[in-house]
Amino acid sequence: MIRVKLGEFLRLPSILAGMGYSVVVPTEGNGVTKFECYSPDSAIDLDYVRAINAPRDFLLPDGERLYRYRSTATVTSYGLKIRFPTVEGPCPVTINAEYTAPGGRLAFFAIHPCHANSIRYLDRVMLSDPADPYYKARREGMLTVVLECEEGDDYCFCVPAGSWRAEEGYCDILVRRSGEWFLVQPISEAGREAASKLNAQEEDAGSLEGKPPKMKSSFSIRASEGEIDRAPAEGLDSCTLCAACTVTCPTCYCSDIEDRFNLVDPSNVERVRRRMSCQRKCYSMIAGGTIFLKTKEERYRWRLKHKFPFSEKAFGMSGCVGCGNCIAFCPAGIDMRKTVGRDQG
Amino acid sequence: MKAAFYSLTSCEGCLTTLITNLGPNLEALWRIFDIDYFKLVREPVGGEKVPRVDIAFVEGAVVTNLDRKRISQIRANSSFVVALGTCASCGNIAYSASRGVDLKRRRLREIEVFEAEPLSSHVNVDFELSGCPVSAEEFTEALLRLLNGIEPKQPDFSVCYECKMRGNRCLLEVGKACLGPLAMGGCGAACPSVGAPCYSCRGPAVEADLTAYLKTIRRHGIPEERALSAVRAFTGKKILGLLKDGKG
Amino acid sequence: MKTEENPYIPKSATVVAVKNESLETKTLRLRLYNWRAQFQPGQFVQLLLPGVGEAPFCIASSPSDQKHMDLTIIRRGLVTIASHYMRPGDVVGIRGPFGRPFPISRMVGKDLLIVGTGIGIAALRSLILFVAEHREEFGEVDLLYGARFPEDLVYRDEMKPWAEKMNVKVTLSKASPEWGGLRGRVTDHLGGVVRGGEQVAVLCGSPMVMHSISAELLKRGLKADQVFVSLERHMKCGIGKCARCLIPGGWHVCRDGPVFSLDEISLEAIGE
Repeated sequence: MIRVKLGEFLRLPSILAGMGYSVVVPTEGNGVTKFECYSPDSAIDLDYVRAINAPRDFLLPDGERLYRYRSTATVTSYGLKIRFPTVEGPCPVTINAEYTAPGGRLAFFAIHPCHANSIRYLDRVMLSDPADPYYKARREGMLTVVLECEEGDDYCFCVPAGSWRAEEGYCDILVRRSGEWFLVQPISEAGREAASKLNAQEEDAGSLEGKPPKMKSSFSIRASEGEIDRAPAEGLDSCTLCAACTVTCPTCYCSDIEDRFNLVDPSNVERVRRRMSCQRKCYSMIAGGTIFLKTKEERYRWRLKHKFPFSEKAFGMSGCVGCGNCIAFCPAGIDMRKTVGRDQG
Repeated sequence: MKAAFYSLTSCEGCLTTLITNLGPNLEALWRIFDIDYFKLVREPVGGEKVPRVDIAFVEGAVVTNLDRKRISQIRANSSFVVALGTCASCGNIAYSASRGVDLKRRRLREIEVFEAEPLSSHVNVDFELSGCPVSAEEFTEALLRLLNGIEPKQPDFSVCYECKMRGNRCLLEVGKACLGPLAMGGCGAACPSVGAPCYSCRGPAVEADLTAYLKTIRRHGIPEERALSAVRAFTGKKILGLLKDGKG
Repeated sequence: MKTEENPYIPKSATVVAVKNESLETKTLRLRLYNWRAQFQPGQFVQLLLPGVGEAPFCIASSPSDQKHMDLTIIRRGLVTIASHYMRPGDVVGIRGPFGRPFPISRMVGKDLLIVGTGIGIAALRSLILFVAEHREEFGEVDLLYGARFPEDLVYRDEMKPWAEKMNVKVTLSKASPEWGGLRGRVTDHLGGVVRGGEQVAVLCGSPMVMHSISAELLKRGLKADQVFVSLERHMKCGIGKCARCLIPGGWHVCRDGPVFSLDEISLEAIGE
């Protein structure tokens, strides 16, 4: 473990960039903290408690191109009989999908333990057999610098959610604030290499163990399917279905795959993956227009079920890391703790 | 494949936007379609006559007796009618502005002026593309989907959704009467991203809920009147429909 | 990573024949271009129509022919309507096969009841053909097929060869006066085909109908682990990454299904 002061600690992103990582840092602007790609003039914010986006945005970017192909279709289904004007030559016999794997290694600087756990959850989802090749390529060689929280805000509940500790493999460098000092504990080999480039003001023989942050509330989570169905769902009458809860959630990964066309060359079609939200109408729509989740209440309970019982069952891990973003960023102030929390104290 | 671009009573901003913002796609547009009528670009071959086309794009609200005649002619001569922009889809500002005004005295020679209405009040509209002005990107996408023989999509999310995706600070939190949760998305939250509250220029979202919205702004201590005056000022018929449905 | 390992990339197939099954239904026969599909009855594929989009369909042909694939498609949404415009020679993309098939090993040596309603029979055709090819491995086999109108019936010309291999019963709930076969709903005719014992039942159809058939089968004494249903959701990825096909109980229909036994899922999950 080494001790460094703020100025030296803030050199770490550029050290990581020098090691070939694309570095993601928390930046402050317009009253919110969000993760952005590092540049030397990034306004890095180390005092943040919550960020509006999450590492997920970099591991599963919205609008990611899966592949590209040339369409020679002349099929029409909507009354208008049109042929592509730009297709020339004989019809190719195959769909030649062009695919390039995403390159580069990602480094997340100063993420909180809840973020580290959100990556762990996404790993469970995306790397379970068969692995998602795009996620896997981005995930490979990833490095995380985890900054511990001292105290949560009104919405945090990582201690009740059991995700206050950055698990092994999801924390290459653990950092704790202690007065004006930053205690830097490299954990993995890559972390040691990066930390060795810091000019340590002081060495320390001891080593850092994870420490739970102070919480403003304590409760236990009871969230089986039946319990979520029976529990009260307060405040839903002011829900505007803006989907802020799923957009800001660091573990929401639902997606849609759609075609993107280009007018200049309409036969050139891209398949892109867009983010989707269970609060949106088309999430549960199937052919013919049937919607399984019709009301706000169904969608709200569905979100919680996906986070807790469904994730426990399918991936062996709760999908909620207790960051509280869905409560803090909800314009209507809907608090899911009232639905899944018991013995509030 | 024939297409035509018409303009009813409007600022012609939508068609102007297409010309300025389509970039290389504008040229492609002329390559793909026989465009029989696009007065802003060139004098139509057949003069003012409404040609027979496959897709008609119509901007503007129906205000005068000439508009009324023209829109029914357009409908009769086009297989697919797209309402282009918020005037055509919701009536926009003109809708509310022309209510409660004595229009009889505004007669101009043979032109009679009526209360402004969106296209859908007069004819059957196949697809509505909102926006004030319409976004060239969305226009291209809708056109491409039509070209591919598939139904164009209206966004099923609100401006609020896109705003959160962009990681903006919520304007309701700073006490601004932002209509984001109520407004149809697709603009990429252009206004809230620069700190200006959304005034719902694209009409209400697919699942807009005015009651819930008013409850939400009350929670943030924003007076309802401020939001409601914005609701009334823009995007006309549809959003006022929400008020009338008793959802307010 | 090689393209072959990427489950999102479709492989090519050519439409070789289009068969009109009924007013709203067509069967596309696809020849796989330079690849073979090793699938089992009950699995599904994602069909990509270039320039239109992708939708999941259960494979409706026998697994013994790995070069071809039949997809029976009813006009409902974007892709399905567009697929009705396909002609022989058109190129489509296929991803898959995906999903957990019917548990053939659980059925071998036992009586088998196959119940299909409406277009649900398409998901069962692969199994029916498999059973017909390996008839001696199964006990008594009953096929009960229900539809509404006579015009809705699909695979009409195939019922006869099937009847040589198994007991085929077709029932119409809105039969015309000329209809000479059974009348009424599928649930009305279960009495004659439920044989009890170790019989395994397999069903596919619209959610509400499957719900009532399942309840009826359980009432008639079949155990929950003897009844298998094939569910439908709009899967996007097919490999459990997009979470669009989650059903109550936390199952992904694309990966854990589409075939479930009734002791795995609740009846509500079927008939939502």
